[in-house]
Amino acid sequence: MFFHNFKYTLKVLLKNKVLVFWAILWPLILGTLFYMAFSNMASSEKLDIINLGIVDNEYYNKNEYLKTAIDNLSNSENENQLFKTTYEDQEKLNEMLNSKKIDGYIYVDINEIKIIVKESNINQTIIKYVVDEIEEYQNLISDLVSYKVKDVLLNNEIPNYDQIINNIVIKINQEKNYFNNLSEKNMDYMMIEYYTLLAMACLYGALLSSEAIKNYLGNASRKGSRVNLAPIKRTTLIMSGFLATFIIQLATITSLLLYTIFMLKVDYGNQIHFVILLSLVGSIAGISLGFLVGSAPFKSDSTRNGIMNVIVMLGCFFAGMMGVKMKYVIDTNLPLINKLNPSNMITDGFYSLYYYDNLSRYYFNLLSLLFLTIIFIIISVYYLRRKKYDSI
Amino acid sequence: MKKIIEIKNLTKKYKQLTAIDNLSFDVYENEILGLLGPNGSGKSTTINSILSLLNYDSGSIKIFNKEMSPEAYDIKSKIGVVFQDVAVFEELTVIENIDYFCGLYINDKKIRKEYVKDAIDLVGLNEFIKFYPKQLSGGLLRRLNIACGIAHKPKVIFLDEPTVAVDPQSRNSILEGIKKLRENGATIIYTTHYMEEVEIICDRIIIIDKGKIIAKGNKEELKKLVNIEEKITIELLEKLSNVQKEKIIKLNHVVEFVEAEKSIVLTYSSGRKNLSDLIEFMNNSKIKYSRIYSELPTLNDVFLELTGKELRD
Repeated sequence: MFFHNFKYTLKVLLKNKVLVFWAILWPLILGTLFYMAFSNMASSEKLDIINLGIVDNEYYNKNEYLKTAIDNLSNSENENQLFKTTYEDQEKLNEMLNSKKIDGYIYVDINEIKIIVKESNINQTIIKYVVDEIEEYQNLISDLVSYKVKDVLLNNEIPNYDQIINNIVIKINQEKNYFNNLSEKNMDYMMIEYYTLLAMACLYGALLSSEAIKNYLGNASRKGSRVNLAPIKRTTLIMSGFLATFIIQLATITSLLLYTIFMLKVDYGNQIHFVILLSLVGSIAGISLGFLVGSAPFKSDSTRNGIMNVIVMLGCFFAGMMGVKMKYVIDTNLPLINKLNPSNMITDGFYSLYYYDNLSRYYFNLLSLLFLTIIFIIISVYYLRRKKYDSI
Repeated sequence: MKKIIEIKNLTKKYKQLTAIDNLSFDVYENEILGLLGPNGSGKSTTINSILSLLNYDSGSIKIFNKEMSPEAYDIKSKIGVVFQDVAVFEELTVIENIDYFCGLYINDKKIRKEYVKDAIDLVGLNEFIKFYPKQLSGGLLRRLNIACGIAHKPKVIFLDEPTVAVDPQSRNSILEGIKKLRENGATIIYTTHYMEEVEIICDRIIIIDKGKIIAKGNKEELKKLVNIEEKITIELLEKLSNVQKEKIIKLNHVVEFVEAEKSIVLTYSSGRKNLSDLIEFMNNSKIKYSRIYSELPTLNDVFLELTGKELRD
């Protein structure tokens, strides 16, 4: 019975032209459209260097780490140049900021590094991001120095300052590569489009699973009533349906990844195994969302489809599919929406893989998605347990 | 006769509306039981309750002497259902649809193949096995719907208005198929509001209205319930005078006189030679007519008499 239902569910889903278009072909078409629309934009954005002002004072000049990093990122010989820097006093920089000749400026005083901006766009976000990163590593190195000195003193040894300095130099050299990479990363905003595309493809698994589940429920369709009358356990039906949808979804995601990597030359970085893992979990989340919406006691199919489209398409929109800015706007002003938005969990997980060196944000998104999936499944099970209905 | 289904005091309410009101009846082995009633009378609700698809408020349902429930898989394996709405997969061909539904009951591939072939033969879809549902006419689609419900050779078959909106040729084919199913040993519960079909195939009839049984028995027993022997229609070539009308109404056994534009219909409560008497009267009175004919009472007359409304309302 399991394989009989599995075989026919697979057949029914793959022969449904509307489903095949939206769940399988549409992500490939959209990926191609993104490629055509954004590939030129990406190369032009590479030339779009951020105009950064620096208040030329003694504190800035004393902050070797910041100075080295900014110089590196402003080097015109570097093909990944991020900043074009202007060194002036604060008054002159304020004038430049007001006339929009610079995107923002950095002011270093005795205690802190300040960033002064007038707008809150992507360039300003990058300036802040770079300075935050520099400060973070600066603090790390300070800790390293103090720790080493303290450690050496505790052991009643004479501090070996050469060794400590050497450690710092090694660390700075390591970070130089990081800063070089950073300028490359900022150019690829179009990657977010591909991440949301992957997220959409994962969640479109909901279309497949809701269609499958409708055929097993007596109150969802007449076919469901007929299947319900057969001497077959509902768990057998659901598990075989799940397997069929998961296999189609797996093939969809695999073909989308292969197509974007080999045909559209999208670079998902060197952590493809994490991309695949998140895609799989995303697909399961999509399928469980479909089970939930498909099994919920809605009166009509149009209500089911409407709810699914709102969750998937609006979710992808909030996650940045139709413009990266939307993700920033929602993240900044309505963070709860994107915290609960499965599309954003997937997009943000990919984004964190690409932009951050550690995996904590990736795992946070992965676990959030798993948690949401479990909630979807629990509610679905509640609906799916009913075998007799008040009306059909 | 062996009872196959026993329904006792079944009641189902939708908020204020009582869809089934304390319904009790039995279905016997190898009979075709007609469940008759106008739209909204509670036929489909009764069927869905018996099949454990619907919750009901009170009563008991036993099939093969066991309590019916959604988990009663041994009972379910012996039941076949053909719903009023066509319930097949648009994405599968005729043969795939029948194989899918049959496969939910029959595991053995060899036996299943045989059963599927038998079902196709029974409904006469041999030429269309590779067709998709949307390529079939309404009548053929109904036949496919039936094949999907009976392919696993069930012992009890519920047919819920299987001939709605089909052409006369398909209807005859479906009715012949149902007779064959009974010949093969099945017990059939047949709901419809087409009384001609019931008259042709049903052994016993239950008439339901507003969720209640208003009459039951075989067709002869039901017809005895009403005060009608026959109906005679006269197609006139000229208008009747009032005196002539008065005389006709006063003829023996006439209980009803209905006048249309160019015809009259007389209902007789009894009498064995009403037609010849009437012809004699018409000739003596020199009333010109084109045609005169007699009809025996139908189930629709029974229903009309019992409920005051047409069965197809």
